[in-house]
Amino acid sequence: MKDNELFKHFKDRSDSFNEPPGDQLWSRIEGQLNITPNSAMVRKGVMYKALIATGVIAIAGSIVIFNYLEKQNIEPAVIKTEQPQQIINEPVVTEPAPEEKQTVGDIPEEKPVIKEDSKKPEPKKDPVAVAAVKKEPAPAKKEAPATQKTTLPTTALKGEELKSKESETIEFTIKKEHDSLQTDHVNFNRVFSPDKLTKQPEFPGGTQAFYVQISRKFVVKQAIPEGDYKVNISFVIEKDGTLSNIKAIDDPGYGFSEQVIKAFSSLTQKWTPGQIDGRPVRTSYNLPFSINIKKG
Amino acid sequence: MTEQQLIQGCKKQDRLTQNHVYKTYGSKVMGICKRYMKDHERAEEMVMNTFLTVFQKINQYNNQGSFEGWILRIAVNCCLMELRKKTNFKNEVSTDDVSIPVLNNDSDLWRDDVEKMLNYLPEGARIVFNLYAIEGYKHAEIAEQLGISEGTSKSQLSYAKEKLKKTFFSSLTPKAANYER
Repeated sequence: MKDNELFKHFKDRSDSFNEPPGDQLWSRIEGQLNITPNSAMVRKGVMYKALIATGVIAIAGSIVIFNYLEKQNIEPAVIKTEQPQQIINEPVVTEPAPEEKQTVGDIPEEKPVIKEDSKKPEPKKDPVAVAAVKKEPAPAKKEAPATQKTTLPTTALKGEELKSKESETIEFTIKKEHDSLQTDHVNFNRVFSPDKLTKQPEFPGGTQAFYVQISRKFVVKQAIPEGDYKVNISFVIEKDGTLSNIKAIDDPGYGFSEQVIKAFSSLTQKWTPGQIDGRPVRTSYNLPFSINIKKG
Repeated sequence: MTEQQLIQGCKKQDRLTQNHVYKTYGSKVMGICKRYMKDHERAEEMVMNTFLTVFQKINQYNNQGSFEGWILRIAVNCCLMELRKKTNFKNEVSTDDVSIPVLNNDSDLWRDDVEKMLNYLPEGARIVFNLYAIEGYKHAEIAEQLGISEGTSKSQLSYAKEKLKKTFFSSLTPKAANYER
């Protein structure tokens, strides 16, 4: 057979590998796309958010100043000597100045608005305007920051599926950037189920031999009624072939589970571990045990 | 949708367009990934990587060559990046191996099951054969992609050809003939 005949043979049939990948995989892809948006879009997003934040702070700041002005209606010089809490000359309206007892309840409202942005642009304020002040009840101010806050998320990019920054940083810190196209899992102690393996784990002599070993070590201690009992044991076969995480599912009682688990733990013979592409991996495994009790 | 519309939609990161691209080219991408990765689950991971790369680097597509060609090349590259980490290309080729009679007389029946035949080859030979025979890469390109020498690429290909011919196509090859290299 000539080389190009051979190559043609394979090339012609290469479509036999084709297979539509399915919706489940699409959801995974979509999930990844939502987490790690295009860096250009991130920059735009940050820019927009910064602009909006600046605008909001400017507005909020000026509202605070305005309300503050309305509260007090006395000349600054007089105030200083008579009412110590009205330190009007200081242009610190948007910062949490503790001396201003009247407004202390309101200033903290400003904080959440400011903190939502990673950047802190200079708040625009006019310190001179502070000089003329009037008195007014505080509650009017509380509304302003609240409403400002709610507009912030909605004015984020329309048509964009970016989540707000808080949720990004809290939830998705595990996956790497896909520029490096790594697919290794961060958790190196992962346990695999048998269907994911390229080579199944084995007990020397086969599963039958394993059962024989277990039954030799299995001791019935209590008086148990005759009959058939079943218990399922799940365990992990480690990379070195030892067993761990031995658990009983569907415990029939009478101390059976404890006995079987004890028998497992007392075995010294190791398994050959399951493999994925030649690498031993931790495998989850399941074996049912059927025990028949007879009088005799 | 035309190819241009798909590309434009992708550049806008429009989910619907991206989904359409996934459905349009997904089968062929999966075909490539299965050929290289063998394992179905790893093939799926490579499909995922491929499309993520396509959607995240859409701006690098400069309309040279077909969109499909660009996507399929990304698929091959994703698989190779993953495989070259783990595959040792030098260990496996031994001329003694080729002459050992293998399987049974039914091996001729496998001729139409290319998946089976390819999986029969050791990893390195399979990858090189895929790249040379099916993708049509030259040895220089293969060597660069895999980080091996051209000589290694050629010997892997040689091995793959001999093994496949002897195992699955032996009844077509006259016994006294020269093997073409």
